Amino acid sequence: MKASYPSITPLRATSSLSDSAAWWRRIDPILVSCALVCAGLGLLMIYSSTRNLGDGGNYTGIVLRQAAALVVAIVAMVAVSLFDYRKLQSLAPVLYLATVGVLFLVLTPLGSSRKGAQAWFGFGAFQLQPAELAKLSVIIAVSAYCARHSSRLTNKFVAVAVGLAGIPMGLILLQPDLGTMLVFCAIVFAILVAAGASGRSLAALVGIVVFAAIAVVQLGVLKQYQLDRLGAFLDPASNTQQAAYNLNQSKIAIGSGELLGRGLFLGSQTNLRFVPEQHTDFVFTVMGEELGLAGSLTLISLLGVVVWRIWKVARAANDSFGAFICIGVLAMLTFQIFENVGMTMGIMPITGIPLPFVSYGGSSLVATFVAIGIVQSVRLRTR
Amino acid sequence: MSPERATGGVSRVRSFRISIIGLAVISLFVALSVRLVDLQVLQGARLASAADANKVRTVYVEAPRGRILDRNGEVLVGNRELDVLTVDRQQLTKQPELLDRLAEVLHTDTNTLKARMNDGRRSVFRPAVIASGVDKSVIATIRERANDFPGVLAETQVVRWYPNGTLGAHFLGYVGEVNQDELLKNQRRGYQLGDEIGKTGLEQAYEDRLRGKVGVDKIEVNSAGESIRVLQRTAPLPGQDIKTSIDLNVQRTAEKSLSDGLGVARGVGTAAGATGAPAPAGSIVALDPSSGAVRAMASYPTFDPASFSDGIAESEYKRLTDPANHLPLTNRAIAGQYAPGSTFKLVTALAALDTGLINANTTIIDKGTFTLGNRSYRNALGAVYGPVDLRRSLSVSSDVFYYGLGAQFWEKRDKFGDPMQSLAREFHLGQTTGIDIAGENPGRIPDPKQRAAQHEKNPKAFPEGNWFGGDNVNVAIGQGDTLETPLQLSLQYATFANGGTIYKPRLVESALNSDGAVVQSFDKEQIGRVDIPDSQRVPVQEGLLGAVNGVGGTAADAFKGFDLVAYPIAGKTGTAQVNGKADSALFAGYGPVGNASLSVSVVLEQAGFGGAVAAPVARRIFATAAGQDSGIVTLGTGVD
Repeated sequence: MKASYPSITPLRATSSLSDSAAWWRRIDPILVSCALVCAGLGLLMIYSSTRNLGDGGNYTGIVLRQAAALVVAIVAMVAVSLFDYRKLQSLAPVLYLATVGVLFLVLTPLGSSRKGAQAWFGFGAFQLQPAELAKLSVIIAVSAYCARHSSRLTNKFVAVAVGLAGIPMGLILLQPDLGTMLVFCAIVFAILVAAGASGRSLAALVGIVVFAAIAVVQLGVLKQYQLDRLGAFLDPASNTQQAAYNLNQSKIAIGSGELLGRGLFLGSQTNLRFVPEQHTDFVFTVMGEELGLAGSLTLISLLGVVVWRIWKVARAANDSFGAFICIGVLAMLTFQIFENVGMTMGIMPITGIPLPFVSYGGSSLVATFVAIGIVQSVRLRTR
Repeated sequence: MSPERATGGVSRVRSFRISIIGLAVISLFVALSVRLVDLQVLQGARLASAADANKVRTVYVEAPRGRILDRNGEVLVGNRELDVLTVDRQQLTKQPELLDRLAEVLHTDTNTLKARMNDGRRSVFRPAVIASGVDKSVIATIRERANDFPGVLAETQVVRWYPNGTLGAHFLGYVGEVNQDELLKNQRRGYQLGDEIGKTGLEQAYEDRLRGKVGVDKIEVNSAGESIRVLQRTAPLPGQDIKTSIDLNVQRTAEKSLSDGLGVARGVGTAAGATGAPAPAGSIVALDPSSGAVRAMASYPTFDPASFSDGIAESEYKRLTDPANHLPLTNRAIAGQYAPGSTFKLVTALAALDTGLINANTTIIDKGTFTLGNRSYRNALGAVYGPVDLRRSLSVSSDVFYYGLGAQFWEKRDKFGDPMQSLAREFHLGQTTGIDIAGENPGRIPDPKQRAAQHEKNPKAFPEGNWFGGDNVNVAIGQGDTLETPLQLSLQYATFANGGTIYKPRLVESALNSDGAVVQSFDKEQIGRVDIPDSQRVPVQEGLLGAVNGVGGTAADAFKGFDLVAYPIAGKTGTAQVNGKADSALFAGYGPVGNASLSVSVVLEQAGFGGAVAAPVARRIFATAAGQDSGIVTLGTGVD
């Protein structure tokens, strides 16, 4: 592979990367600070929603784990940004195959099951969710493939790109983790759009996804709770369903915050645990209830700035690979933000997707910051 | 240089496509923001109140119900704490096998417990009651094995308690779970499904005082429905005690002698005195003539109000409302309507004196029969009383004397009108007395107008619309269509006893708060007045005294041995014919004459002669009131 890209040599900027002062100056301070503020707000919300879990109302076990994960995530981000992203292009096949292997392993008895999904590896007190990291490998693999063939991206190549993503997607669907699989769809679609796939082939892809979705529902691949969640989205008035109840409580929590919120740690929906999975998938409701429109619009804006900065890096990138990676990360984050926040407000169906930077979950947090690290790496090497 | 740099076309496409992606991203973020504003601004107020409603549960705490006391403060209805076992509903969901374990120690089966638990009478935010009246040893077992019984608690529950059993059941009434109708009727008074409410008698009439004020706890709950803390607590206000005018001793005697008297009439009381009458039912009312205060009120057959206090079994309710069992729930004292028979002669005699038809010394010769047109009317058992004046007519109960009066009233109707009926109405007959419990019937005083109206209204049921002289003859001795309730009968003699003042009969003297202080006293209330000059009152009373104490008096045998010097009694027996049934036996009287404190009416359905079976029952009630030995009810020999 290396042979086909003889021109890849360290750029001038790269050589100065060892000079930490210069590195510090060239990273995007807005992107990094917004991401960190989002993660900080996340810690606050996680604490608010979990502090009553123990006796005495001051439980910090979960928020401390998340803080530890954040430290790891920041270190990983810095390390990844120092690493030349262009080397990833040649590493892509290795990463890809390793990922597929791991996704396969998690389905075996080596993996562990929680809430009906076989999606975790347990390492003592820590769990690793390989699907989170798989998103990155797929971004890298599809970007590498598309960059290599972007000048002649025929239907055949589009099919291969989709196929590349399809294998890990299928494995994730077996866990089953519908939400993460949908993230892959968004990633692949966005990269193909950026890579210049023809309108016709993109339309065909949309058609296939719709067809597949119908088939999946019809063939009973989805678990009952997933169908319930879908039903709750389509018919929120069906209060008998647990999922509809959850959605209703979620909307009540957000709406009751009104303009300025009920006050930090003062939300009754949060304190009395009316919202399910509140520190993970429904963490946005804490922001909505306790800090109101002011707080939640701020959070959405910060996330928007992060996406905007990534978009800027994508547009300015020297090479297609870098641009595609950034678009993949952008698609991943945007889809997750839209799906996660949207589901808490009842405009998207409920799927188990974390809110990037904010939701509790170490794998997700580290993967997200590594993604930011890769984007930084692209930026650092852009002239 | 990247090779792509050379292919500017690819780069341009990429740039363009990335811009499009940018637009898509912006639209998604705008969509989120719009929805956020929708929820938090446009729907914010509604959702905020939904959040408040979410977390607050209102739990109603029933106030201890007031007691019902007799005139001396003896408890007629109280409250009793019942040992109950409750179980936390959440624990039961977590550990369904808990029920099996409970069934074992309670010696019952799981399904019974389940049914008990789902009894809707308790708020679901309170632990479910699974057993009541639990043995102390079972409670001890459960406390010892607390680990086996998580969430199971021994509590006390307050239920209605009747220390005297069935005593006074009819006027006390019973309580039960509020039904849909009552709930609608009392909507604004804070009744909840499952609340207790007085259904009949005093429990119903004084519901507002007895009930007290329900306490309200506003409790913050979490999503699992577990209570977090009490936000607001309004303590329940205990109900007021109701102090009745009932005299427990008199009441007890009344009920005992009523049932004994019926037994004697049936021949089961004393084999020697068996008459073999069906005697299925009866009633007694004892009033204080000076105030209308009810001292005793009995109705037979009776029921156990306690069977309602914990929810009555359907089979039991069926039994109580089956006519074949003579409707034990009916309070015959106020709802039973009976032909008064000879007890009505009091009215006929006074009317005759008042109109001047006769004077106190007018004497007729009673040959045992009276003839009007081609019909003849006889004394009971064809008795012949010879010369009879007003006094003797009452003492021996000469029907012939009164047949004549009735016939003459009719002959001279242009001059007198309907004097018997008018006077009866002055005595408040033919209309409800307004006693302070529900279920009263008005009785009936028939006259030509009433009969014609009745016929016109329902010709099928009342084919005869005309009034004849014979009707007046019948009314004169309390027959025909004349009907009185035992309460009216007692009130009528009470009115005569006090010289003509009609006091509204009442059961309650005062309401007390939980400290025993009087909150309100209910004073006697005059509802009418009958003018009875001494020239009329004295001879009539002498006739009534003779019935109890004179030679040939219809009740004389029944009162043999009673110290009538210390406690003189005036009274009248009655035997009323009822179509197709055995005669009703009646007695009405008062004592001590001169300063009457008790007016008693006794009605025994299908029991025979009033002098034979009703007067002996009345005697025991007077004996109790007079502090004399009441003895047992025996059969008298009086024929009337």
